[in-house]
Formats: sequence, C-alpha cells, structure tokens
Amino acid sequence: MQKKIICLLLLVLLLAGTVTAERRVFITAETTRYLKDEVIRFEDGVEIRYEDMVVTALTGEYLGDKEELTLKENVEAVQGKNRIKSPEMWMDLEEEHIIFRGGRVESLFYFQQGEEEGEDLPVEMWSDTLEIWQQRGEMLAKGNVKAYYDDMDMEADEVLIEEEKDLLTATGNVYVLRDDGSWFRAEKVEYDIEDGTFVAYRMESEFELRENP
Amino acid sequence: MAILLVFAVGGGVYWYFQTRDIILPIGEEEEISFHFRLAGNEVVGWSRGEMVWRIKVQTILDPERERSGKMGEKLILQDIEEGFFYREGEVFFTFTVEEAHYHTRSEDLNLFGFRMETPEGDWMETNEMVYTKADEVLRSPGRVIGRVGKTDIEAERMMVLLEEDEIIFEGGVKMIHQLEVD
Repeated sequence: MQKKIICLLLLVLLLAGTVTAERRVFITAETTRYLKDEVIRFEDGVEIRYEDMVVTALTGEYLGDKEELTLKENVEAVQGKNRIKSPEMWMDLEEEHIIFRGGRVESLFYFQQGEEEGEDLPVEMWSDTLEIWQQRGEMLAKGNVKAYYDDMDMEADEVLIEEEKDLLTATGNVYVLRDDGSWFRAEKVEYDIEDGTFVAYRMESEFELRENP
Repeated sequence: MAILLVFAVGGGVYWYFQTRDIILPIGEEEEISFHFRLAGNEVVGWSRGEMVWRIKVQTILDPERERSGKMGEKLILQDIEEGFFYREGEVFFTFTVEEAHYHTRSEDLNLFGFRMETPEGDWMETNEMVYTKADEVLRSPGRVIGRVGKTDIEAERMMVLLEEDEIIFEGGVKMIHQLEVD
C-alpha cells in the first residue's frame, strides 16, 4: 500500500545501492567541490534525479568515508504525486536511513485504496522530523505531528507507519477529529490502513448517538 | 680581377650570414624567430622550496628574445611528452598537453590541449588550463569534461586548488553517476 511512499527511499541507492532497472543518477549543481577525505559539496542549487524521483535543495554535502549525504535549505523530494518538503535531509546510504529535519517537515502521500488509478487518497502530514528506514519499510514522524487523511484530522506526538503490516500507529496525546464532529483522545491509536479500522488505547471520546430512522 | 671577384662574392656571403636572423625551422609554416632551442629537457616549477610541476619537453622556444635582447618573458614549450603536478612531494596528477607557455617573470603556465589523469584513474580534459603561481591555482577558463570515480562530470569552468587539495567545478555542473548493478 505504501509502496509509492517508500519508493522515495530508493534515493538511498544514490551512491551505494544496487539496482537492475535504471542504472544512472543525474546530479546538477551550479558549483561542485571535491574536497579532501572524499567530501563532495554542492552549492547554489542542487538537483538529484533517479528514475521518476527528483530531490532539490540549495546546498548538499556527501561524506564518502561515512557514506552520508546531507541536503540543506528548501529540500524537496518528489516522486509522482508524493512530495516531502523539509529544511534539511540527512541520509545514511549504507544503512538506508533517511531523516528529514531542521524545522517543520511537510509531507504529502497517496495511499492506494484500490486497484484502479485515481482511487488514491492523499495524506497530508506535518511533523518536526520524519525518519525513514528503507530496509525495514518504516517511516516515523516525530514532534507535533498533524495529519489529514480521508475524513479525519489527527494529532499526536509520534506517528509510525509500517509498510509490511499496513499499520499506522499514533502515540502520545493522540487526538482524532472526524468530519461528522466526533472526536476521541487516546494514548495510543493503531489504524489499519487496509480496512480503515481503529484500535484506541486509554481512550476518551465524544460522539453523537443517532436514532435509526 | 678574378681574385677581386672571388673576394667580393665571398665578402657578400660572409655579410649575409653575419646579418641574417638565425631561424631554426619548426614545422613547415613556422615563422617565429627565436634565439635558442633546447632538446630533451625537463622544465620544473618550484614554490617555497617544493617542486610544484615538472614537464618533460623536447623543444623550448624563446621568440621574444630577439626583441628584448634578453631572455623573453614567455617561453614556448612544444613536443611535450608528459607533465606532472606535485603535492607534498607526491604526484598529484599527470597531464599531457599540446603546447605550454611558461611566463618567466610570473612563473605562470598556460597549458593548451590539456588532459590530466590522477593515479586513481580519474581524468579531466579542457582546451586551456592556466596555472598561476601567486595563488597556486589551476584554472580552466572554458568547458571541462571528465570522470571522477564512477561519475562523469561536465562543467563550464574548473579550478584546482593545489594547496588545499580541492577541485571546484563551476557553472551548470552536470554529473552522471553510474550505479553498480547486480
């Protein structure tokens, strides 16, 4: 389901990965510096393209000995309709671990609801950081997380999305408000993305009971 | 009379060779007049007691000496076999070049038809590379292409900061990185 989202993470293949489909990464920058100790610095605008993914930023730095890439200032990662904006992006290419950080991280994903094209539902999310582990297929948004999805707004301290389990877990001061005005608070909420069901722990709720006509 | 004629002709020939410029032909169309020609030499550039560059050259021309009467400010190095740039006593990179101009006063170098290669196999090519001793920087004023590791690079300009061991590509830098394939 989140395959499209996780595809963004293929950027970890930038300098160290192995692929069979497309074999080249295109990088453009106004200035590129090859420094000592395998350090490459990109300045005055950098764009990295891999297949249909594009990441842009004002500056970047690659540390060859640590296999780390950091992009800074107006970082934007785009793949199809999916999009992440952040002040900074850090990547450990060996561990395939990405962190968007440095301020508010703005994400827009599409969860596929059916087989047909056009049935995708957008998820807008804001957080202080967004961590992605490519190998584990996990994404963790931390710090003042706000998410809008389908008919609900969600707030939480952390939101974890696990690709294998099709599971979204929100923890810490979770607040969910639905379009019909109902709401609930909980310490923890597990949301099954596949079938749209909730499991809430330590829940407090308010909703209107309606009589059947 | 015959003796006088012999002396006259002989004197004329002597006068001709005394006053004529000495021109050593370098190629068919060579017009340059120069004072000396050295063969099988190495020209070496130093900075603060350390060798910075070395060029193995077959021909050194001094076209300006004719005008100044002293060694010219620009020597033309031709038939260059190979060149080296050094850093801390080690070869930083080797280069080949079609022609080099060495400025004796500033000790700068203009390298035309330049191709550099590092011991690791990285390479760069450009039409002209200029070495300025004052700041120990190599600059290509024009487009440069090359390969570093598994990355092809193209840029409008390039600078090599010899002191800092730094290479800077500027102006619409395009890099294509080849991924390893299973």
